[in-house]
Amino acid sequence: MTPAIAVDGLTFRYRGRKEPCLRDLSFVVPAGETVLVLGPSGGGKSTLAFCLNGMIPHGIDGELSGTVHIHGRDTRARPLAATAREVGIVFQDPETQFCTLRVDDEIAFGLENLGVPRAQMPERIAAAMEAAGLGCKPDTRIDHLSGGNKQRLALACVLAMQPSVLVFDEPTSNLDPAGAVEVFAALRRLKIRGEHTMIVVEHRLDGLMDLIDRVIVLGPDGSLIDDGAPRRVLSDQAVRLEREGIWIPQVCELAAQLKVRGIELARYPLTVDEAMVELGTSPPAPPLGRAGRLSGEVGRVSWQHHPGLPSRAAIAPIEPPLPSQGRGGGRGSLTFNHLSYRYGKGPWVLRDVSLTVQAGDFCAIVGPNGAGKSTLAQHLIATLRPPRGTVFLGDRDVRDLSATELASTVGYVFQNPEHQFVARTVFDELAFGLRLRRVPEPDIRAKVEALLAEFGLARLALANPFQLSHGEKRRLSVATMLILEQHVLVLDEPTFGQDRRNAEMLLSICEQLHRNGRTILMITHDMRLVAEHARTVVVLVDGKVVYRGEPQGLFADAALMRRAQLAPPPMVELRRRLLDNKWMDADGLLSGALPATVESLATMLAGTLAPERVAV
Amino acid sequence: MSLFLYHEGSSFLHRLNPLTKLLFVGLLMVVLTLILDPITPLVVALLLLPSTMVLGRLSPGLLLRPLRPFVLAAFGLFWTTGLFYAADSALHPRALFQVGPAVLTELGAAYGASITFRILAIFAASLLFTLTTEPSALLQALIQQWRVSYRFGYGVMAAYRFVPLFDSQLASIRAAHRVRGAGSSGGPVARYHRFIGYMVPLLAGGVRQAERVALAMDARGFSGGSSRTYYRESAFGWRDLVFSAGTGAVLVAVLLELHALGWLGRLLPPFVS
Repeated sequence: MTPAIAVDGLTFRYRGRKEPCLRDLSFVVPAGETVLVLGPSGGGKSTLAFCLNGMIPHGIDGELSGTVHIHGRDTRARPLAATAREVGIVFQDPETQFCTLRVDDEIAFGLENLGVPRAQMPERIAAAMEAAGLGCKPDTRIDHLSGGNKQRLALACVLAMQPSVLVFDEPTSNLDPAGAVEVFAALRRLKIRGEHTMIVVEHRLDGLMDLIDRVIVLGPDGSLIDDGAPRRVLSDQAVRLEREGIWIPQVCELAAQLKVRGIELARYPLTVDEAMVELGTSPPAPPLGRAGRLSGEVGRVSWQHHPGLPSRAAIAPIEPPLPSQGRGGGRGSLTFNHLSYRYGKGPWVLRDVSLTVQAGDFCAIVGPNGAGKSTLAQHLIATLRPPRGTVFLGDRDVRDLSATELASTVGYVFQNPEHQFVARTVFDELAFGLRLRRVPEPDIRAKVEALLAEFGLARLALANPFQLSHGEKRRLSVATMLILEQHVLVLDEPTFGQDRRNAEMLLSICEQLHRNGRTILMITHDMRLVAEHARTVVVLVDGKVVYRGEPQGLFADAALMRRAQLAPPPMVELRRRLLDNKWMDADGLLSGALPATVESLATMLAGTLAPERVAV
Repeated sequence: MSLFLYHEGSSFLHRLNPLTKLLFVGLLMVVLTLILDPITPLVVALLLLPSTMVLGRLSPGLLLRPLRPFVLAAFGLFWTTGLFYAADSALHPRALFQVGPAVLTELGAAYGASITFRILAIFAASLLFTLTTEPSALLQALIQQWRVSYRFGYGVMAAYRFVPLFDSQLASIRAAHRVRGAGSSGGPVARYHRFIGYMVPLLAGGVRQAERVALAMDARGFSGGSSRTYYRESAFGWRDLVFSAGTGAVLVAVLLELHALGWLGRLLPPFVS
């Protein structure tokens, strides 16, 4: 039988670039298979998608060699429209793949292009919406859909054209976790129907792996690094993928870490379920009298792996929000005092929020979309003007601070770094705030150069900020928010859509700032970040603070997690199940105290599974 | 979103073919430009506003709100055109109002009123159009019935989707710049620089977004060729006939009646002098 996709010796170089983006790729995908494509950002994954549906060579300029056959037909020999109807792509950004205003018009767009008779359209539109799991009315306005439903609409648009191959190009990277769940659910339905060959480019892998039949790994130069069964590839390439900054399932990270510690699981796990099977439902019986002592050591080891963590005892016990007179403590603390807010005459976005973030805290604000997270944070920078007596920085009312004073106290890193750039060069970008304050030029030079070096931007001092890479822009935007030595740094979704390397780099910067006593406030959907970095977490639901305390306490409260539409990250889930199965409860060491990070769990498991090795 | 006033609905006016309404507005403009008197445009405007309200099932507020800025402009327009109208002032020197060297003659006032009412009438006609015409329906009609290039038409539609997106991005850029301390003070030069500062990220992002939309459209076979079909048929129907005949008859009747009264085309209607 002809394979759905046959790629042979595919090399492509965009016009105006020196290096090819794809290099000598060859692989064959039989009909009905679901293939995950992994690769570093900028590594040609999207280019591959364009090659599959004929946009290359028919719509995008460049130099192509090698061939792509879809069901045995050469894409070069067929017009774009013919290949495009067989290979549908769902793109990354839900905002930029539509050209009409209504759901049915948008789905009809592809049908119109195919020349489908009008009489057949309503039926095909309804069928596509059904298959994509889009439950709204056909005349719904697109801008009223949630992010997840917009991606389902994108899928419905493609499905209506009845393609045999579906390509998903990072379909969840612009979505919140709830949206990602919606998209994965749609993928799962398609997989069960079994009518499509699917190519999935994705970096959010937790919750996806059970759908994947095969993994293809692209290298940074666009060549094929590996191709095979998920278990084999993720096991063999774990180290390499980490080095290239590619996310792998957290459970795989754990398995890789265990391997480093000399423990090889019989079957490399891809999901939490599989990990539990591998680890066994109960802990191995430790030699009597040894476990406690050893796990004690293990516990200590795990702390040492996180030099950023102060000992838990050092964190002041979390109290409920301060009463109304509450004016927070020293510099760097943040206090909201009975703050309510709504836009115009709309519904209340914040309802009587009282909250104190201690100076030096590393605090995450989480909650569903529209819960008021950004609205709350924007009051700190006076983008929204709070009433007098409701928002305090240290002991000063935000309303009493001038714009300049405010800028020197609070740094705010926006989601899109480009929005913050005001100068022509990286150097001037950093010098901007200092020049406004008439700092002498030699001092500016010294300060800027020190910060450039610290952020690895020194060789780019004269570059235009807009021409930096994604990660460099991020770093620069954070650096601009530190040059005035602000006490408080607010970050809006810092890991959103970032590859692993950028995300980890950014978080290590934040950890370092936290160690230096800065207050870090993060608005985030990234529960892994919360589990691994946040010291306190604030949960907002419908504009109300429903939880404030340690992340552990939040994760332990299943009802609250559901209410806030949060899902525990895999390591939290794994730790809970280990606890349920009475793993490592000697001396109560595991209970609550052990951070739910890959590293600390790996160390703990290594200690239990092979105590003698840890003892060495 | 103030740029486009379309108000969703399913009234008689909403169901008209957009091109019928477009032609009506165009025709009315031509007629009003040819007739220079204060009464005709006033009558047209006074007929248009309530009938738009009834036939379009629109609340008075919806119609009057966009008219608010017009009232102020009309006031200024009346006085400037009125005061500076000098022709024939020897014939009709009767002054209504005098401040220093500025004299508002009867004829000047009539002239000011005719210009002001004419603009009011044209404004009312375009409200009938914009309040009840869905932009995408207009584009579909242009593409299907007036053979506007579909690539151009869909391009405009895709761009239209960007308006709210740009709006929120601009707000974010403004806030981001304020946090940097790029404050709100300063003269026109500073303001100009600030504006450029907003535009650079907005356009840089806009170009990338436009590129992505274009790719997404092509990936769904947009370049397909001439065999395109249409989901929403755009055609003229009985409503369009009724509307054209009705408005045509009313317009002719109004013009004839005004002519009979001797008001048509006379800057100073007989009842004044």
